[in-house]
Amino acid sequence: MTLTILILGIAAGIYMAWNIGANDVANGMASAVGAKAITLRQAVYIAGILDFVGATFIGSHVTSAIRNNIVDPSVLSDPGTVALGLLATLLAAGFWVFFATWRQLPVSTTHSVVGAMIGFGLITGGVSVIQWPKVLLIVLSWIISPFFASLLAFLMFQFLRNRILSKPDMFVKALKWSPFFVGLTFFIIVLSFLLKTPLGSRLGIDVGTGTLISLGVAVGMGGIGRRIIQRTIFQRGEEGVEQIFRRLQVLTSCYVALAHGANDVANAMGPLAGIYIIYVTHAVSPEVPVPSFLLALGGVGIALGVVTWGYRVIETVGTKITTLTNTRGFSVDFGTATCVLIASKLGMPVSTTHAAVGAVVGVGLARGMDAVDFRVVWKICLYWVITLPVASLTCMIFYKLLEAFLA
Amino acid sequence: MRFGLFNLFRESPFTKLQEHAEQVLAGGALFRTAIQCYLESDCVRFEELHLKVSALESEADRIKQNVRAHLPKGVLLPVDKFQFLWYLREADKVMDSMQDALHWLSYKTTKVPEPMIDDLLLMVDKAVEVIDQFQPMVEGAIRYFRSFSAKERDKVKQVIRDLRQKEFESDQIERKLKSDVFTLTVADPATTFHLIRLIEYIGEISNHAENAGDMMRAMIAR
Repeated sequence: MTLTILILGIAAGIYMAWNIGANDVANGMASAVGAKAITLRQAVYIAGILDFVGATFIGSHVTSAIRNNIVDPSVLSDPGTVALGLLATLLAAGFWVFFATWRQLPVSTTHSVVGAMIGFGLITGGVSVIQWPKVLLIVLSWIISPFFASLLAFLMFQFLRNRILSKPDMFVKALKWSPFFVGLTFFIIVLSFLLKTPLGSRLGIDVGTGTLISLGVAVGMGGIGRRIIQRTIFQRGEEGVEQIFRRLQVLTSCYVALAHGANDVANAMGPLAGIYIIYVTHAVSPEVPVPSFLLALGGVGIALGVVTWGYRVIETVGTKITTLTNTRGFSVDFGTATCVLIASKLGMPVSTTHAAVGAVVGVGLARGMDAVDFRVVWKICLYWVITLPVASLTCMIFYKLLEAFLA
Repeated sequence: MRFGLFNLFRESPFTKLQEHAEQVLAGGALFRTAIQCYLESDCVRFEELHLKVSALESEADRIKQNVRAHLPKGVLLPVDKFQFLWYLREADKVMDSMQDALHWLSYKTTKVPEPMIDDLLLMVDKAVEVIDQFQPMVEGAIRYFRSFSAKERDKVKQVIRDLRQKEFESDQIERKLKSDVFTLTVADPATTFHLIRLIEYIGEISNHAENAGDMMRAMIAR
């Protein structure tokens, strides 16, 4: 029976990884492609390669069997039940993500997995085994992350508009501020890598050291960046300003792809690793080592998703957001990345997707977008809220079905 | 991110604004020729142009309705939606006034007194000059909303200033023409009525264009 579960688990894990690659890549690439910082082909290469690299080489080698420890692991002792539950989780999360994709609604892959885990916990251990304070944190993140990202993007775009764009000598102003923006970009990227991806914990870097290192890199790169900009950008005026932010956007999209692979591979491979370990050791442990080949499998799945379906998503997006210039795109990227960085350091399981929606709205509120449809925002929020109950309910159904057929 | 996120972005209404301005611009050129044909008693050609302007007016109406129909509550624009729709309404009335003037002319063949012809043509020219400002005004405004560049804003402001000046000149000619009508067509009240209304319709073109310019000025206000 465990072999059947493992085989089904591998299939479901790859499917989930494919889904992550097929849909979530637009996260980092969309604004860059929309603002013509990179072409569609470049976006696919960057996303495919960097997602794979991120998943395989930076992805966590140790993960909790239960994502975010949402279920008290001490009550889960029976290996058979846990393996079945993890499979049901993968299937339920994959199903919900697929449904949301079909309805074209941005839901969080992480929250789908967490929701499914709650369902699994409820059906096997009852209400008491669920770590409700952690669920509350997730609920809070629906409110906090979009608002915070929105605020950051709003302020960033206001700043760009008032300090640079609306000045008569906007290129000179942009050049003057360029070390600040280059530094800021590097600061967020380096700090995120050190604090948000498993890379930092592997290197044993805490918040203080991470901040210092990032600050050093930021100051250094700020100075170098200005020189590079002066030597490589020959346009002046508006086009010159956009060129500066175009370069920064290339950086931020590369970062998002890499970080995305590193962080989200666990959504697909975490439960699968749990099943795999149970298959090998016939025991349950709260901490699950994720073998390198599983990380690589996840990376391949994500890259495959990018190549087979993701490019269509990016293309749709790129043609749809023609009004997104590089300054606006940068504001969106900045709001999203900073929000995710700060919130996740505060222990809030935020979703990049949620932050990105907030950031787009923020730039819209700063009057930076031609037309933003707020009714869509409410619809998106509704799907965020129902992600947890629906995924958990689906997981319970899948669990019962699997139990009936396999046990 | 599922790509539904990008349903957040709706099609920019500004491109439609530009399309509308193109209809008005094309209408202006035809309008002038139509009036000339009427003055030269070339009824066939006049009717032809009259129809063409009517067709452009319907197209402009369609664009206007399309913009309105796609700006439901909840859609956020970089400008005040009220001002935006008001601008469109006034811009559309420019086209309506052109059509009204041609409709009005088509009801009756009136011999325009010789001393009035130059002034009448001058007034038509002023109206067309006002209309000619539409394209640069809309294009400049769109560029400004994209770039927020002070330079673009200044350009639009200058276009609107020119527009107001031309409207003022049109008003002056309108007053002169009206008083001329009363002195030159005493014997024929039907002609008086026909010409007075015609002059008012032509005046409306510049008036509505000025109103549209005022709304545009409000939209780009900082």
